[in-house]
Amino acid sequence: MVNTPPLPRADDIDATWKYIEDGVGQVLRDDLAHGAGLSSQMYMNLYSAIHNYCVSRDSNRSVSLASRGGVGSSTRGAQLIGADLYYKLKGFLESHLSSLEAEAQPMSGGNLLLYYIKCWDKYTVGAQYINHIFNYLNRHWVKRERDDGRKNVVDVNTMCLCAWKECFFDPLEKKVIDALLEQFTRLRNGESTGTIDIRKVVYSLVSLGLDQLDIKRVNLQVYEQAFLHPFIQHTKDYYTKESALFLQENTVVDYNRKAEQRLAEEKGRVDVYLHPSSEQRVIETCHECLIADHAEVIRSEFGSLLQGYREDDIRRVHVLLSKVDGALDPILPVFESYVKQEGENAVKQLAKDLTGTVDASTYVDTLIGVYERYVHLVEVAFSNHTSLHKVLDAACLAFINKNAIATPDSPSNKSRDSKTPELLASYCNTLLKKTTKTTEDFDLEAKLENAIVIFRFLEEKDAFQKHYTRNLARRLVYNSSASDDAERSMVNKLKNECGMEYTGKLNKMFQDISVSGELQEEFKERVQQKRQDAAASGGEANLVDFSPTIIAEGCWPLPSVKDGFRLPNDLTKTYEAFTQYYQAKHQGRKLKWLWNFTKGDVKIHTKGSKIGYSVTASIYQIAILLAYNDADVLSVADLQEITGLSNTYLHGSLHLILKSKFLLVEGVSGDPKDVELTPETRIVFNQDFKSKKIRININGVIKTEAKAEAEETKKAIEEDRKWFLQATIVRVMKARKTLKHTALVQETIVQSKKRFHPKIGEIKKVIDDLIEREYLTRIEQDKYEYAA
Amino acid sequence: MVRSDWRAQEIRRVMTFTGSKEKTARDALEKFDWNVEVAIDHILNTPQVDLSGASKVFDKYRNADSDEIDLDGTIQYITDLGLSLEEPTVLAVAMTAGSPSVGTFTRKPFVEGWAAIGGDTLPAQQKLCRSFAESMTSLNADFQKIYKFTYGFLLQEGQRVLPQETAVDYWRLLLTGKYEHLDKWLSFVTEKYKRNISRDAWNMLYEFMLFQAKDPSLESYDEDGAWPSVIDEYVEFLKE
Repeated sequence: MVNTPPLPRADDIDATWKYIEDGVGQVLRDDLAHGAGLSSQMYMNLYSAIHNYCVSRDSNRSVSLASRGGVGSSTRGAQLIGADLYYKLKGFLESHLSSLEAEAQPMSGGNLLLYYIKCWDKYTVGAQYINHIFNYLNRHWVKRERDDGRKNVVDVNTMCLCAWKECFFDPLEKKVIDALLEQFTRLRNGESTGTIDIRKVVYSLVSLGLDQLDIKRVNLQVYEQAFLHPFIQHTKDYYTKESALFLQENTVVDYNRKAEQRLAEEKGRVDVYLHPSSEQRVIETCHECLIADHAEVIRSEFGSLLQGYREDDIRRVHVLLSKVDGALDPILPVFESYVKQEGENAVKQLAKDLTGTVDASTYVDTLIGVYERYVHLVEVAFSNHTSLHKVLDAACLAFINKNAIATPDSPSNKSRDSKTPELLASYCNTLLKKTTKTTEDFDLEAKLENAIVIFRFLEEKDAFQKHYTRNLARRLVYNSSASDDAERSMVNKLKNECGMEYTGKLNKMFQDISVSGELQEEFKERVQQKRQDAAASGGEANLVDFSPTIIAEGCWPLPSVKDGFRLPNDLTKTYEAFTQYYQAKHQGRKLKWLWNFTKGDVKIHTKGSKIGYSVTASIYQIAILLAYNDADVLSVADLQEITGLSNTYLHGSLHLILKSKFLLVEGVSGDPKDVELTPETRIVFNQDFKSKKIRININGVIKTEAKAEAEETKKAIEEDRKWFLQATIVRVMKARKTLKHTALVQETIVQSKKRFHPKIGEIKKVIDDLIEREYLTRIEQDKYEYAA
Repeated sequence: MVRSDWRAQEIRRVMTFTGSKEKTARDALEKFDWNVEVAIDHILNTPQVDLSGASKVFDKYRNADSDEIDLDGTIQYITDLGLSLEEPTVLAVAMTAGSPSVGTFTRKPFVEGWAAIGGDTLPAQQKLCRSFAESMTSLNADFQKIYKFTYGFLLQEGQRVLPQETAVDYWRLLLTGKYEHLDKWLSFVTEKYKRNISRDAWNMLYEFMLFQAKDPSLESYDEDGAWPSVIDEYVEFLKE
């Protein structure tokens, strides 16, 4: 039990202070944090001494004390006293701290910091005790003083901290901060900082920021002034120097790696040692020294990184540059032109290796390949950044529509219309057509999805539509679709991209086909019936199996041609039977026959074959072959007489049969391709025909016909565009009444974009035409008025 | 032209009061926003043009059956004016006298047209013709009016575009000596363009001549601009 001295007289300030001074001195000297300290009796006594003093009334004393404390109020004096004690305590603390400070003077660096921490720990704990001891003073005298507006009076704990700042920290500030910064240099250099609690020193400065007006408010002024400002400057100097040195001796790629690592480290350090409010400023400083100052150098390597497709290094460039406003922008055009060039080169290579015509699949796969390669890069290395997607799209748009195959630099392609839409359509055709190879469903779906990816980039979606529709028409009428589901899936995809209007005709075509299916069934039964009837009466019906497809004119891009064709006698009965049947079913409908899309199977018997060959041939070829039932040799003129076919179709069909060797040019055994067919050329039936295959398809595309069709499609596209532009211009002008030329052209381009990208020349021609037809009037040299 | 009844009535009122023609009455009413009093004042205060002189000239050449000057009359009239059919001044005459088509003059526009500018007698008209000829020596506003008039004047009934040969003839007639590159234009039209000439093309050629005079190298020509395609093609032709 520690012996506690008796309490002093309440009205004796000297005795009272002496009593308290001993206690406070003990508190500050002893290591309270580590167990030693005041006994609770002593603690109580100190508290009581202060309490007693404050409540003892002595008006004389109180007045004199009030004036000493600078309070200067003689009217209210006796109510609360305490100023004397307050200022005595303050003086005591100040001298205590000054002696601690004097001890620190010779110290520096780590030692100084260790000493600082030791003193700080002891002092702050002590300050809390003292604050408790002086609690009565705090609650009454201090409170009243503050309430009366004397804000320089603060609670005892705060006063302790203020005294620390004034008498201990301020004189040592430069040395302490230098020592702190030195520790940060050690941290950055990867050196040990020993047992120094850096964070404690830094946070002591946060505690010292005191706002006398509002003690509870966090005030970072001391922290920022004394520490953060020099710290930022220090950071700047450190990294400016380091990055310059590093770049002298290392590659940019290594530098980027280093910078990324440094940024992560610095972020970690801020979290550990600094006040959270400083993070942004510190990190920004690092960005400035590590990235912004070297942005050009970092960007300079970007091209070669792309070339090497170095995903991780590219990712790093992106990560670094995107931290600084505007630093990324200059690489966008680099990326765009690089991808564009890559796309163009890939196609150029393909064109170079090409021998015959372009294979649509290889072409589209090449485009997709480039797209996927860089979309992956954008997703992975550029973390899906919108700006990068944008320039990637621009690059793809460019090379997909214009490249060595789509728009070859040749005089024959003056209009510079892209071939990509047609090739893409034919890519789809290959996928959707029945083939001997079976494509896995998921594979097919993925490939169709690829087609859509390219489709999105097409500038001339209308051209694709035309070609796609044409191909689909053939697949449907020739019943050569591989899968109905796949067909519909693709049409759905197109609908999702371009809306109902784009696919309306396609759906109508599907409908026709399904209606035709029912019709075919019905007609088949009818034929059966007729055959039975004829057999019953001992005759023969002379009907062949026939599956007609009834399609609505206008929805199908299947042109009827002037072929002059005369149906062979063997088929007329069937023809009549169907016509009768259909007319009875749908009165008033007119049937047109598209012989050029008609094919059939015939059996050909030769000397060498007992069972004969099943031959699939066009109806033209069938007509020619049937003629040989009655003769062995026929001249071209004879065949023309029999079939009625015009030269184009007769010669084309004959060439295909000659190629198959069922018929031969008399006296010619060489390549039938080289034979010039004249009316006198004699064609013989090849009795010696031999083939291992029993089923033979001799049907094929007649070259001249294919060419005419390509022309026709091109013309149809042009017509549609003209019509569309007319409608658009008239619509725009109707709404706007008068419009300047440039505005009209712009508006028209905008409204056409979803379909195709019209050339200004095309638009002008349509404007010319509309002026001539008096829909528009030119009211000024460059201004039109809607006139109709 | 269909007018609502009240307008027709107002016109008649003004005509009765002033003794003026329907056109005069209508013009005045339209000018003064259908205020009858103001229109009447205006007509009475405007010196009336004496139409009788010009009428006499018309009578001299007209075909009595149709009350029109027909082709024969025209040839005679032009000759009497001291002009030949192959000179551009004839087109100025046609415009002044409101000739609807080649070789025809009708009474009303002929009489009013000439009277308005003081062509009351043949000698007065001859004198006016000489001043027409003078004003037609360069590309000026008066000439442009005549140039533009010519297109409609040349169109025959039912025609909407001018046959190329006619256009070429009249370009030669009108533009010789005024358009430096006329030969090039004509050979472009006949050898390259080979189509008939729309009114817009006709009119815009005039604008283009002015443009070309200012920028002979055609550097500032914008083929995306409002020029009709025929001019674009011509510029391409010139640059080749």
